[in-house]
Amino acid sequence: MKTTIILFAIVIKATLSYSQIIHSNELIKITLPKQTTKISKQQLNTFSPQFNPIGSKANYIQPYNYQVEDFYLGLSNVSNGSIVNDLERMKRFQDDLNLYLIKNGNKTYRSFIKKIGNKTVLITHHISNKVGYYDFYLQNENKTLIQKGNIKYPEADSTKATALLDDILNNAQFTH
Amino acid sequence: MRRLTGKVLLFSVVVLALAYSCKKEITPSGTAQTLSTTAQTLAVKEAKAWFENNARINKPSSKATNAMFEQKWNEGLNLDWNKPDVYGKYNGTLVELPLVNSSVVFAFDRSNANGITQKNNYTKTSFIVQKDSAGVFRGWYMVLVADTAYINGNFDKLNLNTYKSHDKNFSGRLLYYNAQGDFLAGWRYEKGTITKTLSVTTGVPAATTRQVNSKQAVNLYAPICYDRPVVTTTASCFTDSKTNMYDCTYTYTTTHITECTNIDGGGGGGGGGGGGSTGGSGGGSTGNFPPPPTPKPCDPTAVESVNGPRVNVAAPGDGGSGGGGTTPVPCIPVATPEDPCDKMKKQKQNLPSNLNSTTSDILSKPGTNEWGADLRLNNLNSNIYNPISPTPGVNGMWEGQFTWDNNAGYRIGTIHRHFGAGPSPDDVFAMMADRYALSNMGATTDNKTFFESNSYSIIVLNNATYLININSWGTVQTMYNQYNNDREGYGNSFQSMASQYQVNHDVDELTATTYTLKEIFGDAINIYKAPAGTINFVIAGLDQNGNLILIPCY
Repeated sequence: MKTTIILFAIVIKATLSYSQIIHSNELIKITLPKQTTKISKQQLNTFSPQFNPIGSKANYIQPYNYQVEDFYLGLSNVSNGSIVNDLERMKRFQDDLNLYLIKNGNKTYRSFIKKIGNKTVLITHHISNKVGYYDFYLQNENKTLIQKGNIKYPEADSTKATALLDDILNNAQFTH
Repeated sequence: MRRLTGKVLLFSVVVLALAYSCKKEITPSGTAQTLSTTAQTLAVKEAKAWFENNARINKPSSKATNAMFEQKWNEGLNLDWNKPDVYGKYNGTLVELPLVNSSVVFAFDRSNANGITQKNNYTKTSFIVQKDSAGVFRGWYMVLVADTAYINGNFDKLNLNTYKSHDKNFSGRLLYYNAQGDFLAGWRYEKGTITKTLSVTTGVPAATTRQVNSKQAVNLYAPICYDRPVVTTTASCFTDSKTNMYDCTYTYTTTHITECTNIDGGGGGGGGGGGGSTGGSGGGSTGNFPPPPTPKPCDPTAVESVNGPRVNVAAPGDGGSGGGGTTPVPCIPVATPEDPCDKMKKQKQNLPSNLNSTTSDILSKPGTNEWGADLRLNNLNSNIYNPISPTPGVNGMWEGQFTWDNNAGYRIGTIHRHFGAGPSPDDVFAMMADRYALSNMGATTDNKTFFESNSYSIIVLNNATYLININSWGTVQTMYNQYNNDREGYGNSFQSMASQYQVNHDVDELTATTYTLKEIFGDAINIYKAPAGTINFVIAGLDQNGNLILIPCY
């Protein structure tokens, strides 16, 4: 009897361990960490109380919102647009947009493009008001698809946030 | 025949208005009603539009000596549109708005000359926008000055008191002011019940206003011997990145109020002059603050015909419409924003004659550091600019230096480079910062008006030239205070929104940023775009479907 209970517990634990959310559509598949939960738009407002001058308009909302421990993870729809697939151009744009940080004496902004296997990614990062921000534009090998996403995290958890980012970028698989 | 028809129509309107006002007396609805989320959203949108349009008419310079809030439209008194309380009451829709953190109002009694004891914790101010069932808007400030005994060390008690409902034990004064700062009505409350009606003392100025530096403020007040002076103070402050306020400029206003025996009878809050429509609902014990006196209906024939809508003007101390025999007051035409095409044409005429060569010079600078130049008028009576000397930005970003004097010149505009993005909120707020600088240096009203009418910012890129200016300074000032509460957060939001819009729509950088900027600021700013190296500007706007459109001016 005792053995049965132990086996049952192991099965349950194993099942729970593997009940991970897989973010997938016809263009990409990303296995998210097992602590990931989906969050609603209402929760999003609570989770991300940063100033939003015009509210939650559809044009600006990322359709997929997750919570990973204390982190926010947002994912956009995969884009096949020619403009956003020019990562060098996107980097220049992001560098220009983020000049406001320098104006406010914040020198934490960094941006770089790197290869991850056959994928390429533009990553921007900065810290503001003790919150860390990662934005990423992950591109497929053919340079025709972009998965945009972002992570917000408490500044003190930068190591874990970087690990989360690496995990997502590494296991993301474009299916086209 | 047309005139006769018009008179008949006017007569009908007046009759209907009177009939309606009488009907309101019979069925006042002083209990707040919950509105649907959709209705609340619409109400806030309408209230904000009304407020923004009226901000323009509520700052006439002639009001300066008798206007408690005259200056606030431009420099301090800002409503927090992110925290509205929306509900139905008195057969209308009410939007109750607190002030943003950096816009502080406090009042205190100064019934003796022994010195001023500042009691900002005892005061709460909000602004109420009412849309009645006929669709007519009005707005007023509600200032609560609580008794020390009522607060009794618990400053949270003031939060129990709103226009919607008040603490049954509230003791203190309830004061209403219209948008110009004119006293409308006031009541003395003791333990939740109106005990006295307050009115402006006759025979003395209704209010006196002094603007002083905060360090000098306390010493400037000479003894005042009127019956019951209530000193109301607003503070216009800058806010640092940690939301600490500094460099405050205070405006002190003393309203001389006489406490009178309540002539309304029955403990009702009839309002200054006995507004009949409020009598039934005004008792303090009901938990409802009374509405301010209803303004007299305006008479459109009392002024020359002017294009555009007209508004009713609340007459201070007016007894309300309940009497029926009141003399209609003239209507004041609502100032409509200047046509963006007209403004752009005027602006083009006032640009430096060597703007194109300046643009080329700035764009020719190598590297990724922004270059820019201050565009300073030599004087305010001509279109002559001082020599333009582009300078490099610091750490990539150009800011320039604001000056406003005969020696250095009058910086009416700026020009600087962007590398990928179009104009940003920082570019808009830089003009507002200049406007604040004007106030801080004690510029004349004419100078301020000149600046508001003519200031601009030019952003040049390799593939386009932008010119932006502010159309509604009151609106942008409100946003500026939000911006100052968290500049990085504001910038982060703009960056995030523009980036997301670009990915969602696969548009170029200029489209993404222009769209986002226009959606944030709406008609409070004008955005003009021209081909690179030219000033052939067209208007960048949003159509009814929210799409970015470019509108040429002919």
